[in-house]
Parts: sequence; structure tokens; C-alpha cells
Amino acid sequence: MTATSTVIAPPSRAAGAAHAATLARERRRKWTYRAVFWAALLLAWEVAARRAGPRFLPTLESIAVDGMSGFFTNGFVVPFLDSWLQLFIGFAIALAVTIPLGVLLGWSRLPNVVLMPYVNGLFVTPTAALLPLVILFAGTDLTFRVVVVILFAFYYPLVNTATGVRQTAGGLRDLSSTLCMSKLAAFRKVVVPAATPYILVGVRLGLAAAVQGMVIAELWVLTGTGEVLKNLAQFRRLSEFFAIVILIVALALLLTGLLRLIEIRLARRGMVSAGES
Amino acid sequence: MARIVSLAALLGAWQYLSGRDNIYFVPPVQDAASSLWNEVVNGNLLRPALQTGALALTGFLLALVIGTVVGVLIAVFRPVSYVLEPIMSASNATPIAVLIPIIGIYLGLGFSGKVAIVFLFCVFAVSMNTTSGIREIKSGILEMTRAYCVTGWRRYRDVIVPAAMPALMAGVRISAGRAVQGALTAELLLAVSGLGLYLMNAGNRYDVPDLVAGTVFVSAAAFLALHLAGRWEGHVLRWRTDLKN
Repeated sequence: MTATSTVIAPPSRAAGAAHAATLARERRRKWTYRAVFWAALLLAWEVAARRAGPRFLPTLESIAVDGMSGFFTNGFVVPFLDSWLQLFIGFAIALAVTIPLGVLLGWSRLPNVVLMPYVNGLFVTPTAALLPLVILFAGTDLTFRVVVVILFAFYYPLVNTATGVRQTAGGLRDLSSTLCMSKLAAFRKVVVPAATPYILVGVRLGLAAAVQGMVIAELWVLTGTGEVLKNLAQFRRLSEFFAIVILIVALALLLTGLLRLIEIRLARRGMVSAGES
Repeated sequence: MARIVSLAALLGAWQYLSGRDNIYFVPPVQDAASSLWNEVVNGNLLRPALQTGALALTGFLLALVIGTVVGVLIAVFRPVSYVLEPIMSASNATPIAVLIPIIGIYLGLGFSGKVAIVFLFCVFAVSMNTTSGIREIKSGILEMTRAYCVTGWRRYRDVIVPAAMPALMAGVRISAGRAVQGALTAELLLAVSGLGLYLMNAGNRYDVPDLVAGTVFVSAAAFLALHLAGRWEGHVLRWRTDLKN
């Protein structure tokens, strides 16, 4: 938060101080609004929960205390970790296939012409509709969950990598051949750095889709966290249900947030090095 | 030409796999094709498709109206953006499917519960695209608006809304795809109905040709939905000469 005031170069010291003061005032205003509105939202939830009862809406206190302690004591930790392990296996396979394939699609025309209709066709198809078909050849175990995660996650890393490589492939490739770089050197020193921001965005979007895929796969065959969620909802153990939902969402946001941080870091470094050269 | 060759290769590989004894989940191409034809002609696919379509369309239109309003409010009023924008972007990255087990408690397993899923699949994309569309209007355009003394309602109707339209329509196109996604997800995971029911039945019967036919049909229907959204986008943006090449 403090970084914003240092990035903008002040025209003079006095004007800079005034500018910083304005920014600080605006920031205080922003957080005041947020504190008031978000507190009101939580209060509304609490009031509604107390009126509706624990079988309809759990209170904040019961989510934070009963729900979270239930998560650790009732044996939900193992399925939770298990789910994320499956997710990472599927996502790692998806990235290992899609990023090289994306490079190929962005680099040369023929694979692009041949493969893109299928890629887009698979993207257009509602992934949930593939579940009954996937279950026939992947069973209901690890393979099923991994395949579903891959189906959900593959599109953005693939297409973004292809776009990133294609964007640099034109102009910068001409330039690097003018500078007598070998094809491999051009790829390593020009195409990869230029395409990295695109790839990172693709990975981030893919990860969000992968989490969705994990949940849907587990709700479909009833294993892991999906089974836990379904059972908790069925027996109206809502404080534990919401505690787990909060943990899943928090972890998903944390991971996508980390990727976003890397994107910003790289973008900033890119600007600095461009300014230096 | 390359596409024709690759399609032929794909169909060939499919046919080869279907001939193998140990692979029961790949039906011969002609079985799947004739199943698709029969099920479309006798209405077994079209009737549930109407049900699924109604579900997707209802959730989509609701998301369109509410998402646009919220998106405009966020873009225009700074306090609204302070309090709602973090919620919007966090929700957009949230796997909506985690809510499926409890939606029944609040909205039942009927039409409204399923519409809620479709709505949640779409609304954040609409809202965020609307917001960024309005924010990215070039300051020169707004300056000119001021110079010509266009104010109040007319400023929105004649300048801001048309200028934000491209981003808004991109949100519409994305949401059309997500609406079909959400509808199928709801019909398979919340309460089985429509095309979800069709696929589930075919899967439970191990009727693989019907299952493949149903999946291809769903894919085609989703493609049609996206195509229609794209046509609508083109129609709305037809005044943008810079988009035509």
C-alpha cells in the first residue's frame, strides 16, 4: 500500500507532499467505507443467523469456533489435503502438456490450423457434461479426478501461451534474426521472456478453473472434500460446512493471489530493464 | 486441407479404438452418428434441450441485468467500488460449485435453485466487464462530452453506454458460455433434469452411443449459444467501423 506513493515521481517536494497527503486521505476514506460496509454485512449475517437457527444459517461465532475446530477434530483434514494433492497432480500434468503445446501452437502455423478447432471445441463444451463419459474410461478413483481437473484447467494456459509466443514471434523474431541470433538463442532470450507474462495469466486462470474442476469431480463421484461437503450439508452441520468452504476459497484466493504477485513483480522488473537498456 | 486430413485421422483413430475388444467405451463412429440422428429426430434430445435452454437463458438474463447495474454502480460511485470491488473479484475467483450442496437448503432443488447456480456462474464476469468498460473510456471522449455540454441522463445514454458497449458485450459473450456450463453443472449435480438427465441415464444404462451422441449434442448446443451471443455482439457493435476489417 505504501508503494503507490513512492512510485509516482513528485514534480517538486511540496507538491509531492501534498499529493502524498491526498493519497493517504483517500486511502483512509477507502478503508473507513470498507470497515463500515463489511461490518454491516457481517452483522446482517449474524442477525439473520440468530433468527433462522443453526439448521438454516450458522452464526459467525459457530463457524469460527465449532466449524474450524470440527474441521481439525472430525477427520476432515485428510480428505482436504487429499483433494488438493489430486488438484496439484492434475494441474501439473495440465501445465506440462499445455505450455509446450502452446509454444508449438504459437510458433508455427500448421499445428495451429490443425489443433485449434479441437481445442476450441473442447473449451466450448460444458465440461460438466463430459463427466458421465469420463467416468466410463477413467473409473471413479484418482484417474477420474485428475482427468477432470485437466479438462477444466487446460484451456487458459494453452491459449495464453500460444498468444504470448505468437505476439513476439512476429516482430521480435525478425529483429533477433537481424541481430544474427540463432533460433535457439532467440527463443530463450526473446520469446520466453516476452511470453512469460501471458503464460502466468494463463496459469492463474487455469488454476481457478482447476479448483472448480476438483470440487465438481468430487461432488460427482463423492470422494474427498466433495463427499465431506455433501454429507455435512445433508446433516445440516452448516457451521462445519461453511468453515470448509471458507478454507477452500481462502486457499484458492491465496494461490491465485501469489501468482498475481509474481505477475506484478515481473512486469515491474520488465519495465526497469527496458528503461535501462 | 490440413484440417480435413486431421479430422479424417481422428475419425480413423476413433474407429480403430472402437474395434478393439478391451475398449468398450468407444462406440463405432456410425453407431454414435446414427444414435445422434435418431435421438434428435425423435425429440429425445430436443425436449430436454428446451428445458436446459430455458434454465440457462433465465440465469443468464438475470445475471445480465443485475451484473450490469452493479458494474455501472461500481464504476460510477467510488464508495461503491471501495466496498464491492474486492468482493466481486474474490467471488469471480471462487469455485461456485462448493455451494451446490447447500443451495437446495435455501432455494430448493427445483428451477430456482438451478437458476441460482447459472446466475452465480455468470454475474461476476458481467459486472467486472461492465466496470472495466466504463473505466477504460478515454478521457478525451469525456472531455469532449463536457465541452459540448452534454450532461446528466444524455451523457450516459449517448456517450458512456455506447463507449462501454464493447467491453460489456465481451462480458455477455463470456457469460453465454458460462451460462451453459452452469446449467449443465446444475442439472447434473444439483437436481438431475434436462440434458443432464439425458446424459446421466445414458451413462447409467452404459448406452455408450447415446452418451456420446448426447455429449456431442450438448457441445453443439453450447457452440450455438456462443455463436448467437457473438452475433448479438456484432449487431450491437455494428456502428464500430474500427472493428470491421
